Amino acid sequence: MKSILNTFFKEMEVVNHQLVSYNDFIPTEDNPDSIMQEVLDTLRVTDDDEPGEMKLDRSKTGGADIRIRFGRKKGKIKLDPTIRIELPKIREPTGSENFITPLESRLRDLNYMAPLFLEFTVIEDDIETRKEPVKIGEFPVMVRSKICILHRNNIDEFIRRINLRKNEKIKGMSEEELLALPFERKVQLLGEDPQDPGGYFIIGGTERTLISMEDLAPNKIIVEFEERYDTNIEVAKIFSQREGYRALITVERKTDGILIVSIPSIAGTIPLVVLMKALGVEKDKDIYDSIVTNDRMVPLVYANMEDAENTELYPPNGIMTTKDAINYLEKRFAAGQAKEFREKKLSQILDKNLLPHLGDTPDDRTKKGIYLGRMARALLELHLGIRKEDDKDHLANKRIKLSGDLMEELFRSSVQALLKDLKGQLEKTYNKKRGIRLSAAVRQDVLNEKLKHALSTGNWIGGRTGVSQLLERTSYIATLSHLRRISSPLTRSQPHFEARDLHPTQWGRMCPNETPEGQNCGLVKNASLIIDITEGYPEENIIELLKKMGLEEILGEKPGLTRIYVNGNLVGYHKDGTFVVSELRKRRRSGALSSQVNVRMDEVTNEVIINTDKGRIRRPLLVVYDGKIKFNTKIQEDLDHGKIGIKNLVSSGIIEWLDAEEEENSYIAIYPYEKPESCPHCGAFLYSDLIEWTNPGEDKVSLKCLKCNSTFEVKKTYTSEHTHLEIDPMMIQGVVVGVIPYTEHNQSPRVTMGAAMTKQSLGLSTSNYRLRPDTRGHLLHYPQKPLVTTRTADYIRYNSRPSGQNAVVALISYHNYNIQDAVIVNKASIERGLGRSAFFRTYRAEEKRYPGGQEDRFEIPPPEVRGVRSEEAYRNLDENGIIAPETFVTSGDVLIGKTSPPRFMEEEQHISIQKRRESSITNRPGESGYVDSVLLTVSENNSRLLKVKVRDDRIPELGDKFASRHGQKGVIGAIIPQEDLPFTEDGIIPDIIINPHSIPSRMTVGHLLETLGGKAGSLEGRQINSTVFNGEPEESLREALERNGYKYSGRETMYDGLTGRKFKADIFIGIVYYQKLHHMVAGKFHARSRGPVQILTRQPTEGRSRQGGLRFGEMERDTLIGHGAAMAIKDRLLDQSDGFTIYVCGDQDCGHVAIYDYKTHELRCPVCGNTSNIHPIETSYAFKLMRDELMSLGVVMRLRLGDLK
Amino acid sequence: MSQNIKMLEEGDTFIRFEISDITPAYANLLRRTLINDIPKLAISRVNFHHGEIRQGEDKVYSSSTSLFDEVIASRIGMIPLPTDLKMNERETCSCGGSGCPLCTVNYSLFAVGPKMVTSGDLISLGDAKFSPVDKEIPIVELNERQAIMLDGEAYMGKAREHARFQSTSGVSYSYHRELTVSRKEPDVEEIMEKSPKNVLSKNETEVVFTTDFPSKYMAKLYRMDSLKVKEDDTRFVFSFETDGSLKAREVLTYAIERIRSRLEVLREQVPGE
Repeated sequence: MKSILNTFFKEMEVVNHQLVSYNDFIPTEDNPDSIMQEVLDTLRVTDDDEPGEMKLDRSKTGGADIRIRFGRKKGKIKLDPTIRIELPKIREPTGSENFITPLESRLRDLNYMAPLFLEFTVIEDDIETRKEPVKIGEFPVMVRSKICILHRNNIDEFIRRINLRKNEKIKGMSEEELLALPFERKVQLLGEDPQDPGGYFIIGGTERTLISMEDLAPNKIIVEFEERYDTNIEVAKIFSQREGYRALITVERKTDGILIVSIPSIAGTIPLVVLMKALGVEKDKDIYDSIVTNDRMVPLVYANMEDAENTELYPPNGIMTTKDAINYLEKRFAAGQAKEFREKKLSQILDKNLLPHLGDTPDDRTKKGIYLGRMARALLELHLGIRKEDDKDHLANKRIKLSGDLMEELFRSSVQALLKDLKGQLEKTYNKKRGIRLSAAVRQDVLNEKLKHALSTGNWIGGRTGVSQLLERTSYIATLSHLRRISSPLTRSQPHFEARDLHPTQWGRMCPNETPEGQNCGLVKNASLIIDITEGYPEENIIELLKKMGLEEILGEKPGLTRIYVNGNLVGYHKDGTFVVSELRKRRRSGALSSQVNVRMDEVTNEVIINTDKGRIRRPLLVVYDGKIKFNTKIQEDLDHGKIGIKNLVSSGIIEWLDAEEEENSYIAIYPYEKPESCPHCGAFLYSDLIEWTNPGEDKVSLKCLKCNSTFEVKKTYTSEHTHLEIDPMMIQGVVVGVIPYTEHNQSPRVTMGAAMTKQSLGLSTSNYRLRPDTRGHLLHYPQKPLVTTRTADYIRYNSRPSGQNAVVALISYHNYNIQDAVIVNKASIERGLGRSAFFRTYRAEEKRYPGGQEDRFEIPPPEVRGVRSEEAYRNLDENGIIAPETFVTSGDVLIGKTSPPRFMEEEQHISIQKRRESSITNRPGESGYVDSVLLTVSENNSRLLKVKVRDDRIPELGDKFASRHGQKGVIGAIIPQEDLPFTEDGIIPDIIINPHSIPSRMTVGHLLETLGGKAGSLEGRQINSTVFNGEPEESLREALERNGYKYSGRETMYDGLTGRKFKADIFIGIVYYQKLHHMVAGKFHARSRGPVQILTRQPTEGRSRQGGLRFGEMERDTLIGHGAAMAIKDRLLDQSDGFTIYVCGDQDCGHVAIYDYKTHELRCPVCGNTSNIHPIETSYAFKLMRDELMSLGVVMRLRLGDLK
Repeated sequence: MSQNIKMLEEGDTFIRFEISDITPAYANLLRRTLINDIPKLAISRVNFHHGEIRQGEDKVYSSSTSLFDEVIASRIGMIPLPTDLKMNERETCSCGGSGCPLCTVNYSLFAVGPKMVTSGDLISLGDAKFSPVDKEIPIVELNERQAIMLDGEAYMGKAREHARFQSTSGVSYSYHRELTVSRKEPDVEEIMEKSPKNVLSKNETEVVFTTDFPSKYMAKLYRMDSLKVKEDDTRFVFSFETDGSLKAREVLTYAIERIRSRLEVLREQVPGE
């Protein structure tokens, strides 16, 4: 089984789903039927245009009939694609065009986008006059996708294009030598981490990932109960979707038994029978046939049909025919308008808004009528209790939208905008003589800006936000997890309890533990270790196949026939559903049918459900047929030697991908055999590393103990009753939870917390950390691979991008410095490098150009510049105003000297000539460090761009946060010199001391097992396998300890470092992998005595970054009131805040604020002219502000002064 | 009371001895002295060359490596250097703390890539006896276009100040312990056979073991039902290692001398003496 898992990770990236989805969308040469091409083929520029072409307005072309095709015409013959994309390039302002690498994009704040060409065909009077490929803009490139420079197929082309001059060498290598390098080295050569998974975009120099979206499956009828005014009513719903347009159609059963339909953008509801009649299902027999399946339904349907014939409700004669129905609807929705307009309106409703997935022409109406009948049938079945409510949270009713699908949505709307604009441009500039000039009329910016804006803000079409997010780079594992995240569109604020719960169908598809805590709990999920998200397969092929198998396409229901659904549509009936299902499975397992197809037989409702659509999450399982699996030693060897791959396993029916729907038909054995606790020969405790299944696939399971090399037989657990066998149960977890050791021994919420914290831990997130210009970044100085590790960690190569350190941890209290989850750290350990990390912050500045030819300048600001600092402030800068690497800088030091042109209409204008402004970039207040690197380059606008990276050494200090992988977090409570700490008889002094009280109530047994495992591993020099369900057992670890002269219990005799006396109790001590989390005191501590105030209110600013004040809140104020400390309150709330003295006119009838007249040097009331009776009043500036604002409203506030009593 | 020290095992960098008739506090005093009060030479100031590094005519190297200067400095500080206990401590040196051959040793490091720079590349500018004891401690790995050039200043310090001045490790003691188990216990014979030094006495029914000599087979005794433990908190078995900067015996004698002189200071201050 390990061979299968190994093969998965050999063949696929961890973020395979993202890459596959994007590659599917992109129009590369090997993908002629790309989704992007499909978008263009089906795109209507305006409602009147045919799909894939646009027709210029005759009135603007002087009567000429001009059409421009940009998509392919639908037809039997496959036409060549019209859209084409190149590799990512940038057009420099100098005019040259160069390939760009991801690193260059990050460094120069560029967009990693590739030029997109569309071939337009001009058709004048039905004659194709010419074809012209035009660049329509640029399209974002996913890193490591097929069109990325880093892709295997492209990297050589890039190396050749670097254009080596004769005999010039790069890093000491000639072109031939470069090309001969292994792929990973080439990637490194381009400044990239070979282990970076890719799957993200680079926009404006920042990495952005598209979060996969989970949504209710479109085009699928869902029946459920809804509560309306204290009554439960049955509703049948469908999200009908076609080419980006989505419509929710519901059929409801009113309390009087009448079925009504609601359609989007239509006020009110339409009775079902009326609508069906309007759609051409005219005869009562047809309506009856399309709904009724059960005798009990008959009266309900009759009631509805009679209702439509009610002459009182529908005067004059009731609705009997299609014509009656259409007249009724026209009257309702377009009353009193012209016939032509009424028809158009009705067509809009019936063809566009109603069930758009069935078609948008009047020919499709009958189909829709019958479909509505089916919705009513499902509804009545629910009403009669024949069918159960559909489970909305069942994964079979959900689809995942991946980056490709999201880009499709975005591209559809952006390219439509571009083409609409093009159409307008062509009509505007049309000139009979010159004909049409396409390349001049295409405005690339229309497309580019829309794409860039959506990706850089995350505001997608449809008003969704947060679709694209800044890629997390705290640690490698955080990046992986971010790229595998799946978000639900349900609102965070509502409870949605059921949606947040773990659903059984998530087994093997979504990680059971990795979800945030708090408002997003259960709504944001992460994919399990190995999943596949379907790309879709044309359903026509399946229907064709079904027809050959004897599909009966009849209208009415005959008893005993099985309904056959394909992608939610009833395509017909078959006399033997079980046969259909087993035949389809047989074909799929022999490779004759696409593996994208999943089938399910629902025996309760006698239905066969076939799915071929995209977005279903699936998981791989071994096929069990007749109590046998096809996997055997031969296949295992072939896999290990790379002779065959996953494709072969799938096409030969050894494994298959099951979606949640088909899994309902399966009975899955979790383990292939009953694993004995220990080897019957040598007595070694057995676990996955020590067992080899020597004869997989055979009836008698023979295992080999790898300790003593003896074989023995055990009982097989899968039987002929089973349909599948789990490949490995560890696959149910996601990548983050997968690296947590012994998860099955922990309390579930602790695993969730452990996963959340692992994502915040510092480590080696990328190997190109010295080159990356991230605005914020961390790097742990001495990352170690964990002593206690898992197989998941191996698969995702966590060991080479680790994020923690193995620390000696003792479980005792020490003078109460570790109460309340604090940890005590050994001072010597810190001095030797424990938990040391670097923090980077990149500052950037650009020599911006302004309209009018002025521009910013990097320089040491000369003394005449406005706002210039003292000469001392610029001491670190060279003559170009740039700081040198390895200079130490602290708060407020100038990093980049810069001046800007004066602002237009400056207040000083009339006094002197305009002066340039100082606009230097300074180090953030409260931060310090060494200048790590200085990068001077050219931005997209051909202006100089400067990036300065400052590095800060972060040595663990009081208050820094640390956590193990079991949700056990804590801050440093004390740093104690080593000689004061307890020590063992071997002279081991713990690095970290945690409090024993943190264990019992939290039940993190995994933490204790890790302690034992770490100790055993360090003694024997091996990594302990602690993979979930299959790790090295506790007994085995304890024996290992004893074998090496340590106590079986894991405890040790310890002595107090202060008194030298032995502790009465033995102390539990061992090695635990500890992670430094990015919440460090250095980034948080804050105090203020004096500081900046807000301009408007003159109150202290808010927040650490603005050196803000610390709020003296209501509760704090209450304490002072409680003490009667009036002056203390005044001090806090007035003197230390916005206290202000105003002069108030003392005249009883005036009471306005007075002014100080500088000419006469006297106080004067500007309202009454009084100069003598004026008094200073201490008040808050906020009060004065309110007075002024009220005054601007025309409200006078008079201040009446009086003496204090 | 007859205090007594007995050497059990001794090597260049390792020592094990027994002291009897002292209190735990006394033993702890010695342990603490061994850890934090032994002077050691360590590089404490590092000066990096920044910018291009040239070698020969046409070879230009970058001084920026995959590790940051502060990391390299910290690594260099941890390299054990041979220590002469007679050397002056900085603050009390005749030079007044400015650095002179009596209290300071200068080192220089120059290496060009591709290479794994190790402690062996660290060259003592003074006496050759000061070159690092272990030549294979990795410092930083350079690639083909990188080089490193720096000089370091080493002076004496104590682990109380910083761990880089720590010359000992694994400093510990244990009470003398006697473990009595029934001879009927299944594994007893095997343990006796495999760790003969640990057997104190045996008779028909019982065996008495001691943990004074390390043996990994002793751990099994703790799970035996018939186990009786007797500890003596006046007899201590000490053991420690050094990192090579000093010999174990040197450290021990210095520590004892150090305790004596610290008490001496007190004695001198006793009023009326």
